[in-house]
Amino acid sequence: MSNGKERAYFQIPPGMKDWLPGEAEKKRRLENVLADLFSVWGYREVITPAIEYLEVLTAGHNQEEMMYKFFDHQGRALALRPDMTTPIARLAATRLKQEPLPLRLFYLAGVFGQEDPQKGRQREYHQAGVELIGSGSGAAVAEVLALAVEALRACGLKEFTLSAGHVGVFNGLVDWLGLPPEARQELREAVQARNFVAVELILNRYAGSQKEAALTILRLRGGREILPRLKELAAGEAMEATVAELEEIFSFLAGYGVEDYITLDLGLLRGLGYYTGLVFEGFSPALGYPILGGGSYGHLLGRFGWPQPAVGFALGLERVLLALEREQPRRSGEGKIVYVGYAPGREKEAIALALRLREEGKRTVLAVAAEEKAVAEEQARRRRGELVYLG
Amino acid sequence: MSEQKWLTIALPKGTLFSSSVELLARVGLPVGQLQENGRRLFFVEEEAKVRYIICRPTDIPTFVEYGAADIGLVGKDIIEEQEKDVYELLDLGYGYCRFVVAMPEEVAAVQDWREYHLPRVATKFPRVAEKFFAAQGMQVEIIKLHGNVELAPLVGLAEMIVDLVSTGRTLRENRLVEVAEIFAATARLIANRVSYQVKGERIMPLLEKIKEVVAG
Repeated sequence: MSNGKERAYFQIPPGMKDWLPGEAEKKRRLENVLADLFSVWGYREVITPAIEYLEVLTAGHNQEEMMYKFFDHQGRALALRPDMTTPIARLAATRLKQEPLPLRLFYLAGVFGQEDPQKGRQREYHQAGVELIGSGSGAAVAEVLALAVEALRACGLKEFTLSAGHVGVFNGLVDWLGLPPEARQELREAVQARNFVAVELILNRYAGSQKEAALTILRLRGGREILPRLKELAAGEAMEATVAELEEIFSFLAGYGVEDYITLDLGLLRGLGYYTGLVFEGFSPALGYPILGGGSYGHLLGRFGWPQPAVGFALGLERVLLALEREQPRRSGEGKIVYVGYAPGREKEAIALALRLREEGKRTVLAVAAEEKAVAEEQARRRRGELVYLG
Repeated sequence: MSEQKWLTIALPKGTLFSSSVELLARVGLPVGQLQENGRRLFFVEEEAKVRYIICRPTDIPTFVEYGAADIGLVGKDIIEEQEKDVYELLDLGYGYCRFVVAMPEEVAAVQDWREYHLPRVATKFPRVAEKFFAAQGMQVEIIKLHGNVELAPLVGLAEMIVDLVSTGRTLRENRLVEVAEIFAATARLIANRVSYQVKGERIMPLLEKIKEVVAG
């Protein structure tokens, strides 16, 4: 009766998701809130295609094995976008070079990656994010970080924090330690995975007397008051420049009044290869994985022939929705409705009433046929709506 | 009560359990309930704002990865096999054991394990085995078993095995001999990525105390 072929019609591939009415409405509402917020901060929406040439997407980073790839009929390799930063870099570098800098762009988009769906990750997920292109100044970075805080606040999350690190801290540290290139990569991977046992083993091999200072730096967390500590622990020009940059960023953050949401975490490195400066992640205590991530990237636009510094972040809509759900269980997704039922002969009045209610902004469901009051009551009850009956 | 203040710790049943409880007691956590020999798997210590989850060692990385537990104590052997997205904070030093490749004594005496072409390797740890042989440039056929791996070469199911040994007694009793060591494993303190960030003020001091106990 049911072989595998037949049943495939009723299924969706692993990691994909249908959005049912209540969920879809919550998502739409969140998107509207974020789009409004980004707009009032002066960011403009852009939309890019879901499918790009593979070589465009691999210009950003080297996660090719995670992408959905295929060929068009001319044999060119295509892929579904795994994030929005690279497509927007391509768009900006090819279409928006004449615009006044910096560019401020935002997006709401589905992105794709062949993640293991058993790890609580979807293979299609939705992001809302911004990119500020054409400046890497402390003020630009602080603006984007402050907007990230505002975005999480606007989502309605009660509790959240952001952690920020700086790629320059890591680079300054390995310079100061004088690590050989192969050890740098090894240390980078261990720090990124927060495998402190491995970090210690690598430092044992290479760092000598500087080991304790290096470990302390990689574990250093706190507000801007930890920055002088960093300078004491590891000298060097690169480190001083990074500390100065962080100090500048934090002085602007204080101006935005968002300093309290942000913890400096000097061991934070994000996986994506294109980050070159500040990196940050957002967390909700209700969820075991980050809900937001971003940072500044200096070289990505250069890959598209337009070297410009840039900074941005992306927020995971599914993750934020899940965190909201855990913070406030049973929060209803859908707004209340009014159900208009009517007896035979009162159709036109019912239509007029429905139009009036809709004009007032009430969600109005009009019966599609005359019905008895008991039937109308049942219809309204099952829709958890209020009944107006023209008898 | 804010979720941020509570700390949930996952502890492994079995051989690592008593050393883990002892460690927690030495850093001043309440462990009275854990020492009762009951069947309960979940304990709440209101005053210390600590919850304990007791589960199979192989499930600990999962509890921690999803954030159902903030931190966990588990063997490196399991972390290595599962490749979960968790932070590995500290080597706890106890629970020492080694991953080894072993073969029947009489075969090992005449044949080098590296000279096989596509040998069958029986193991409970397919990822560890696969990674090791790939690093040697050897192609192997991995046969996943759920226990008593030492049986496989004796009945012709596999040419060699990859298994954990602590004293080596099981190998000797089955007339198997170690031909290569893959790596040594000990118990580790692992943490959820988000807990590490949002519960830092609880995890960091605990980490420091555990470090002192482990070092001392």
